[in-house]
Amino acid sequence: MKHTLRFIFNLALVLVSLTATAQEKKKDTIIPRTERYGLRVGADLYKIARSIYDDDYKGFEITGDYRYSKRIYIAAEIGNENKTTDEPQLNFTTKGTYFKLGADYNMYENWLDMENMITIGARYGFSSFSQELNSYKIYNANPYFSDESGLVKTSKEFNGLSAHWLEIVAGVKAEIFNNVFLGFSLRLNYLLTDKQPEDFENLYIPGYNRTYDGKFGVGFNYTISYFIPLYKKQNQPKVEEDTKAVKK
Amino acid sequence: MKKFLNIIVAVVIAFSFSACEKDDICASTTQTTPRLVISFFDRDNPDVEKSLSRLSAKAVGEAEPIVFFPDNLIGNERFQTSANTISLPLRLTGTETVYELTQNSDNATIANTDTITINYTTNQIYVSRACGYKTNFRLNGENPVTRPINDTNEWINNLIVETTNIETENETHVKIYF
Repeated sequence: MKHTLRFIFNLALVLVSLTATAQEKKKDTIIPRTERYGLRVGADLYKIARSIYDDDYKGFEITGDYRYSKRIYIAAEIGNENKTTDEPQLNFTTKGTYFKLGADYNMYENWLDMENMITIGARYGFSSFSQELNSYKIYNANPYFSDESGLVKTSKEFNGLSAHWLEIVAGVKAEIFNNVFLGFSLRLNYLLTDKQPEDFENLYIPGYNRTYDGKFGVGFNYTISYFIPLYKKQNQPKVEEDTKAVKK
Repeated sequence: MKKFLNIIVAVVIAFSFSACEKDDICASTTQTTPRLVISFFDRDNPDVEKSLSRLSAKAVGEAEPIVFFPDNLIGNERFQTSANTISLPLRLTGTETVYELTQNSDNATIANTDTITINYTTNQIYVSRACGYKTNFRLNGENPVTRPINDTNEWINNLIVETTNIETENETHVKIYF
């Protein structure tokens, strides 16, 4: 819970900084702008990096978004994870694939032909996975027998598990080279339902990440993506009243 | 663009504060692996609880008896209880635990040892991330607790099994009359 509160605070901090930016938009520009529409595809750098340095983790995530209107982007993520979690009392491996679909709203007013984004959005997430319990400990508050550690090595596999959740996403994307974007997003997850294994628990869900006592979880990604332009649209500037008067 | 970078930096810094967390700790209030709770009663007055006299309990195969008073570091006193209830840990592996219960364990001349054997099956149940699993015990339907008569001077007069399901320490599982 402490973790969740901290996250909400951080999210609020991000949103406050967004508001500050939004207030500084220029009102006097009348240059007609050409807005590019298209598809952006990318990958989560964090998952790739972690797959290299963490022996207990293999995973990837492919991201994509499609510009639907000036500010709205249809967004999706698809990924796969294979993670072994080692807790003092438990050791288990979670394997599975997830899919997230939703939209992002770009709150950032770009200058000229820049295409940077500060977005707030939402996703619906679904994951299909399995849990394998590798070992566990019998918790014993009163240890007495000298030959008993309580550790049980096992290999129990729980297949056909699934989870559904919602995400609130706050993100930024910056164009670092032509059509190449670097992005970062923070996610607050709310678990709707999940199919639990018998006599065990979904302590980690691919895409959703670690579960807590409540329904909330957190996530993030660090993406590099490429924008494929499909068509252009002229964005007519709003003609202000005094400009009309001059024309007469 | 500079403002933009500032925001990215702010987001990264903000997130880094939430990156570390404390591991959950198994709360002591959580019911985990239970012990066998034995209450002692007066043989002549079966409704009245009776206090033990410096009883020590040692499982066969262990070098030391159960420590009843872990805070009392002075010698053998921590092994001796004069309460009217004791809690005995059962072996997590196997199907029996044998205890030697010695009355007046502080005095070698009047010390009296009786042996009880607890026969059971185990059942492992998931508790939580922090606690892992626990073991519950089910005493055998026939001969749940046996009491071999080793000598003519048994201090235990009678033994009654109250419940065969050992799942909580909040109840008496076995009553011993002496």
